[in-house]
Amino acid sequence: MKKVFFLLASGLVIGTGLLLALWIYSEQGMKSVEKQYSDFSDHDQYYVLISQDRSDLWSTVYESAAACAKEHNAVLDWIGLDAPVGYSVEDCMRIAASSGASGIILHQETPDDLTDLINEAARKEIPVITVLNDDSDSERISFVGVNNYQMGEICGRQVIDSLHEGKNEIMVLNGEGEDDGSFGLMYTQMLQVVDSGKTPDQEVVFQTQKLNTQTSFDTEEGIRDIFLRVGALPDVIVCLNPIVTECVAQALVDYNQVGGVTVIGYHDSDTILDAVSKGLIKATLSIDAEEIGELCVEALDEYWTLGRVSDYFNVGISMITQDDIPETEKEGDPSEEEGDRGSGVTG
Amino acid sequence: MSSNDQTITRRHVPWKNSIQTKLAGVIALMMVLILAVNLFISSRTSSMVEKIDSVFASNVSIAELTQTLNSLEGYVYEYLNTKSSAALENYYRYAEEYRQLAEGLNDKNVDNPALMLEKNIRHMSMDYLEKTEKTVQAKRGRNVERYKAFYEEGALLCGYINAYIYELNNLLFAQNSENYQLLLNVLRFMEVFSIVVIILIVLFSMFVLIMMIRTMTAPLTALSEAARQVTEGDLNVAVPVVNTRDEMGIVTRAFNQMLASIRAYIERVRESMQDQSRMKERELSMEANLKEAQLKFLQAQINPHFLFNSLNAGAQLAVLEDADATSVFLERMADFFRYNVKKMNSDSTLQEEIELVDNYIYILNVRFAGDITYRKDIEEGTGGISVPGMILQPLVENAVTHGIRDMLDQGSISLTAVMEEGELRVTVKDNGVGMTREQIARIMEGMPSEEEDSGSTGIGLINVINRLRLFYDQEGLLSIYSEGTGCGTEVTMHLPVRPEKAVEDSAQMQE
Repeated sequence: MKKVFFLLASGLVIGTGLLLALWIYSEQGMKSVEKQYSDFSDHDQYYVLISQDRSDLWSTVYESAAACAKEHNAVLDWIGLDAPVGYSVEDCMRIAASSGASGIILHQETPDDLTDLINEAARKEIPVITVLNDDSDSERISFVGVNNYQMGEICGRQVIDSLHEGKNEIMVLNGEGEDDGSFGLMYTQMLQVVDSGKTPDQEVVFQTQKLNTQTSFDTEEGIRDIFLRVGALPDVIVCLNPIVTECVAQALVDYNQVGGVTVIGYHDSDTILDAVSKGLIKATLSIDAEEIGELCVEALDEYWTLGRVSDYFNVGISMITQDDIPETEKEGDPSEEEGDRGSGVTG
Repeated sequence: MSSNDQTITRRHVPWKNSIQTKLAGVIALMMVLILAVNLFISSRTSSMVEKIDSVFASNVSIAELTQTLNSLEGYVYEYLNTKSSAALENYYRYAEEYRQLAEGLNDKNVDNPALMLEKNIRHMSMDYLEKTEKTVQAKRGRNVERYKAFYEEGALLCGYINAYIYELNNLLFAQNSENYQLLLNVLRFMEVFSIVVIILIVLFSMFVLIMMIRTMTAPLTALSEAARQVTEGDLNVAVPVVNTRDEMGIVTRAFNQMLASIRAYIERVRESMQDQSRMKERELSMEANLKEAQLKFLQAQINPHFLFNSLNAGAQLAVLEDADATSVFLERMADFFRYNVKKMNSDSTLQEEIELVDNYIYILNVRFAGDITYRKDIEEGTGGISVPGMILQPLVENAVTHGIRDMLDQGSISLTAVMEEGELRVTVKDNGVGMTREQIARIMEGMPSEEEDSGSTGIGLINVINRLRLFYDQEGLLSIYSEGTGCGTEVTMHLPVRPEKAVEDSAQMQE
């Protein structure tokens, strides 16, 4: 009988263990569902990012800004990123003001006048920070951007390296929404640098062209037109927009102009770096996107903490050439190649 | 048996010790266990199903929000269009309803996309309600530009809110679908696991029951095996001790006690028989010793050598006194007693036995003045046959003592010895009082005579029969025949003879 009782006790223990495991498993299943609705933490501030640019530059800016916001006990939202409908910048501004945001990070690409909307937000005590393109007439609290003077100097030096004897045609491509004032500063400085750096036997002719980067697919169409223009292909193309840079690099391959045109790009996305490593792009201007995100959030935090903030924050820039890219990235990681099939320059 | 066991056997086994109680208890426990497991699994499954049912509740509430918003927007438009009181009333009703729904949304800055959408929807909704209120007020105040401007702003906000609600709905639907699938997987796993657990528990219950029944019936099996061995005669079997206080324990202990009692009884009976056997042996030994003692006593009373010497001296004296008859008588007396002593435990020949009988008869005739007629007819060649000593004279003495004693001179005794069918037949016949069948039977059965004859030489017929049996190792060597009282008696000895032994003995006799 002792054996029977021992068996009984063992069976009860094992059975209880099994049922306990079942209970724990079912509870975990139910709690994992509940956790989704309860597993969050409160934050003091709610910041929004407004940008129509979905390029890798702004993805980096958003990720960096979101991480920095978390450190400063704030939540960052990119208005319109996953929206079922396309919001304009004005829509985003209105949504931001109506949603009770405690700060707006605004990147304006279009020439539309947002001064009124910025001012309306300011009246609602919602601070606005402009990024890369400024609206100095508005009541924005700060501007985060690059030093256009420095940018022009860097680009100019790269242009000088690309010059040959005789006539050199330099085309500067810009997006339509880019700030004319900022562009003007950069362009003027570049001209000065090239003019002072060229040799006497070198003739340099500059031209600028604005491309529509707001409506879908128009950028690529514009660049196609440039490459199809007979006899109008420049010696050097300076791109001041990431999408323009990527489209130009692809067009070089599509229209068999690799080596025929020197391209100076803008931004250091994977596609652009790939093009640099392959020699399609001579160099690309890299803006520290992470720094942009961090500076924007810190500016807003400083505003809420101190009640005031600096009017301007400078973002670091550098020029990346083929030599700056590590050997592993040049050869290409097979797993990365497979993953980036959609983002690389195809030929 | 101990008093405890007596108590148990006299009354019923206490219910808590009974096999019935144990079995019922275990079965009940198993049933309760299975029921409890089933109830537990059922409750868990029910909870899971309820949870699954509630997964899409958030989508339902969002749908309600959209419906209310659109209704509100519709009534604002209707009021602006018609300025009807019904539209106004509906506007207020739906505005309040929408406000309550909106206030149920999240209002905190959290790092959860769905909750942040709720927050934005809530704030935009409050802004929208403010706008619609201003629109209605402007309409009531007949300020066309204002209410149109407010309406447009409100319409814009309504569009934004709808877009956000749509985005939230999609997000929640995706999340809820994941949750639904997760819960469904958990539920499916629980179903399979539950079935496995129930099967295991049922199998385990059956196993425990079988083990318990085997534990209970094992003593019964051992008991039946022991009983079988007992029926085959093995009383040294023992049933393993069962220390339970149930029926099996009682029966097992009782069986063992019963076997022990039987063995003890058998042992006692065996010892008793051994004692009886020893006593009988001692009795016989005593009897033998007594007879030996009697014999020695008798022998001690008469010193044979002194007797012989005395008789010889007497014979010589008789010769000196020229009493020839006396001398012969004394010589014959000496021969008779010499032979008596010498042949008590040794073999003799037939001739020697006949000579003894002759001496005996001579002595008796001297005593009884020749009243005994004695005839003998001995076949030639039989004198040398070896026979046990002192077997013939007791027969003749018997015939004289019991047969012709009171017949004065009419008594006769005949002695014959013939070889027939390989055996020596020696017959002593008298014409005396005869014997009844009962007397003959008593003698043949070895019962001593009822009369104690003081003149006898002391060796009776029974002694002769016993010595013949011992000598020849056969039964039936002596027969007694009598036709009845007054018809005389014939006693015949049938003595086996070995031919070469007979020839050898005859040759020795001739020498």
